[in-house]
Amino acid sequence: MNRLARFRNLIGAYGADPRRWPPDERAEAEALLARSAEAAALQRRAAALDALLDRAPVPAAPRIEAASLAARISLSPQERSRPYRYLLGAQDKFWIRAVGLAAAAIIGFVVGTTQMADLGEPANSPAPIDVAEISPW
Amino acid sequence: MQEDSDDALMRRAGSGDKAAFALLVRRHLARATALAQRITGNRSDAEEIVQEAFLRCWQKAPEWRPAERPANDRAANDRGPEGATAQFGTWLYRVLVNLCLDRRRRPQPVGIEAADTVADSAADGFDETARGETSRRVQAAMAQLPERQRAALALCYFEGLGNIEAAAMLDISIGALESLLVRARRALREALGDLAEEGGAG
Repeated sequence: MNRLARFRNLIGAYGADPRRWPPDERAEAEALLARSAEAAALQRRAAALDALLDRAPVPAAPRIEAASLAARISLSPQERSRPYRYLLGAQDKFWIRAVGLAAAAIIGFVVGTTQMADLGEPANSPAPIDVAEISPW
Repeated sequence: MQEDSDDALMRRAGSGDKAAFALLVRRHLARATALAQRITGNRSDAEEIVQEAFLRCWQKAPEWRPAERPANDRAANDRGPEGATAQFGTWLYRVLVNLCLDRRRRPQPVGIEAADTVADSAADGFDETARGETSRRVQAAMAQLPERQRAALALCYFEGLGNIEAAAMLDISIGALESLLVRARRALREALGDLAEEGGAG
């Protein structure tokens, strides 16, 4: 990718201060900045906007008091999972799916083998019809 | 003695330790409120959202487990010891950001507490003493941004978070985060163009 294009995107997203740039791109971006007048111009433009953002009003301190908020909230009940979730741990979804699949496989096997047995010749089956005896010829 | 990490406090809170939870609230209340104010632009909304976020924190504490940190999360690691607390912080601020972004879809509460906070003269919750014309213009321009762009800017620019952590809080990719930031800054430059030129390179 074009380095200047990436620099433009980087500075357009994170602003002029290299400390705000992603650490793994900082060195390369600063090297480009040192040798490219266009990159330097982009940085100056971003710095002007940064200076304005730095004059954004600061949020006032919270009116809520931490201790009383914590005390009030901790009167609420906590959510506890069903016991089997503790037994199964973090991989519960995997195990639930695995057990479900195994159960489906066992049921399928049982049903399948039962029906296969039914396909065998019944013990009291009627005698086969002799087609030749009823033929007019 | 070394202070308990947020993760350790959260585990203790999960066992019903109210003192550990109170310490977590004390550590994060100011920053959480500031972030919510920056995203919502409204003090009462922000305070309501922060309370909801801490309530969820308490309720979910028994089930909370720190996730594996990505090996390339250098933003968190760069902050040294604070990096160790980033897992709970990321989780809490993710909840907070989601509540901020979802708040328009929720019914607005009508009650004594709400009436009390709305009556405050500094309803947007920003420090009146620091206000000048430029400050007001910047605030107004930020208020015009779509909330997700404002949230991205609040996390990356004003809170100084790394891109990996900010993207995780917004539940988006780093590319999507950068896109939000680029659009936000472009819109602000357009809205504040005259001031930016006056400020020039300085």
